[in-house]
Amino acid sequence: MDNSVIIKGTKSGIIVVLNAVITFEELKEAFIKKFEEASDFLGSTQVAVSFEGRALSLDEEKELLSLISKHSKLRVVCLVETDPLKEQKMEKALGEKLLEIEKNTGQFYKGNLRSGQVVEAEHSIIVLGDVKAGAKIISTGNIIVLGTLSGTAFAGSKGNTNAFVLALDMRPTQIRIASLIARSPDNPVKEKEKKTKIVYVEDGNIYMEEFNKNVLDDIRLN
Amino acid sequence: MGEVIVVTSGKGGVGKTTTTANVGTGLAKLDKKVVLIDTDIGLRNLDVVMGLENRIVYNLVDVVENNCRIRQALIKDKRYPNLYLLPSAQTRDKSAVTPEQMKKLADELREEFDYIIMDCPAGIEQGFQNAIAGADSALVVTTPEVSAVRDADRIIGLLEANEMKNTHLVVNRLRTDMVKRGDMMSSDDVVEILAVDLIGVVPDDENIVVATNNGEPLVGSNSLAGQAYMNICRRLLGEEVPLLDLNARNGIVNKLASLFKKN
Amino acid sequence: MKWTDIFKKKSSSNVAKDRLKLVLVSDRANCSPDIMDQIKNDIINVISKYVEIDTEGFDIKITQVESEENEGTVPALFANIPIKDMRAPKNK
Repeated sequence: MDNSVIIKGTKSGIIVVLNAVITFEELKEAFIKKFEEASDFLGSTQVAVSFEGRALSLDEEKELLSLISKHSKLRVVCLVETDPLKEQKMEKALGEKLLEIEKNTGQFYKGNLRSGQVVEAEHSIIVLGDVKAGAKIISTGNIIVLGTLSGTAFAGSKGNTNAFVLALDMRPTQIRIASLIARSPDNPVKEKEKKTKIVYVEDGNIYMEEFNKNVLDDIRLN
Repeated sequence: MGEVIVVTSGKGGVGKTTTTANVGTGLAKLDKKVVLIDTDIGLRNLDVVMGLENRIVYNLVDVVENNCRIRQALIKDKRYPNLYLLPSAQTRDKSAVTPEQMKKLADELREEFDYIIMDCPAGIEQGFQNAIAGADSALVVTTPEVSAVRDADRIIGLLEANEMKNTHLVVNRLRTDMVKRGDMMSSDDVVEILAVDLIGVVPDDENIVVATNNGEPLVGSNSLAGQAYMNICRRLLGEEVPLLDLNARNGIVNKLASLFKKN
Repeated sequence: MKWTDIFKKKSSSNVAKDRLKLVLVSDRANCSPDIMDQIKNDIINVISKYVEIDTEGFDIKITQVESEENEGTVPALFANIPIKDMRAPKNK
């Protein structure tokens, strides 16, 4: 029996062990033969495929995959990488992608935060209530206060300068975004009307402005 | 080498924080380099009285736990270039700091400042022990009321037990009209009972409330309390300053001053 | 209270002063348990010469009592000394 191509079945797919010594042309021949033989046995399931035993270029990988679909009824869903270096890269990329998704999710906090209380969030946070003077809210993402913000807010605490702070009634003691700090003016003008305002970073400065359609368009969620 | 002064009272609400803010600001006005330390962890107040609450990034606990350098935590006063505040932490409790750590901090600040003034929390628990740990002298604040004087006596006893070298008394919120009527103990009465050095008498003055509202200590201003606090500062520097005549000013001048204010 | 006292009513500040002085006597005494212990030991030594006392139940404290001479209160030392045996303990 020709052992230059061996098909191993696993729970989620098949592992194809390839001979590393023979030429690619020889390998293809053995490959086709093997899959044609096993076609009935393998059936027409969806599988993940991984190649082992031989370093393959991207084109070679593609070619082998197309041979599988040509000479068997298997439908290949994905190719699983076995090279440890590439695997690491994949994992990292996957992690980053997941983190990015996480950045865009938020958590809710219901209730007022009073002096001395601190809420720290690994996501963006939406407060359904007031953040009183002396209270502090810290988030790696954005902070949205559906109430009065008179305490301290720290958005983008891990260094994200795209983070913003938004409050229905904005009169904060201090706002921090990433490494920047802004504080309330020493002689604050008393505003009787509640105004929804947003605080963000641009060109290394913290800005606060009234929240409207234009500002909304400028918001980037990452 | 700087001097570490603790402002304490035992009873709450007699004016420790107000005294700390005014004495500190007064000494800064007299060209001394001063740092005020709020040691009331969990209930910070000195920052609002000084009007510096919006500048706090780091606090006393951060310094003690080495989350930042002392320099980073010191808030420079907006009015006086040689006045600094080290705020307390609002989100922790008294046990976050030990007397040994406070002593070490005070000794470090001594190198750079002429006066280190500790605002002590009410009570005689760990917060008090922390505040007096590194102190060379104490300002005991009391009002002419039985409860405050009694607690002041207890504090003086504890300070003596902790071998405090200098203890001075500040009689706060004195109302001369009531003393005259015989309905309030005079500062002499209080001194007689407590048997400690009197360093100043501060009259009950509405301006204090106004100053606190604005976050601006009134020391050195034209008000009676402002003058009284400035006199305390001068005496701390070793000047001989006679006690303020609270009666004279309570009459015509004050009325005139209040007339002007209304206009 | 005599009727003449109406005319020499004490001012409230004097009342405060007198009350404070008394309170502080006991406060200060309580402040130094060492002294209270010394007093206690001395009393035990003296009384033990004549009767046998229960040192476990022995207790002293400083309180205020009505003065007999003038209206008002004065501090007083109270001692509770349980006696075990009226005869003097056989010693030496």
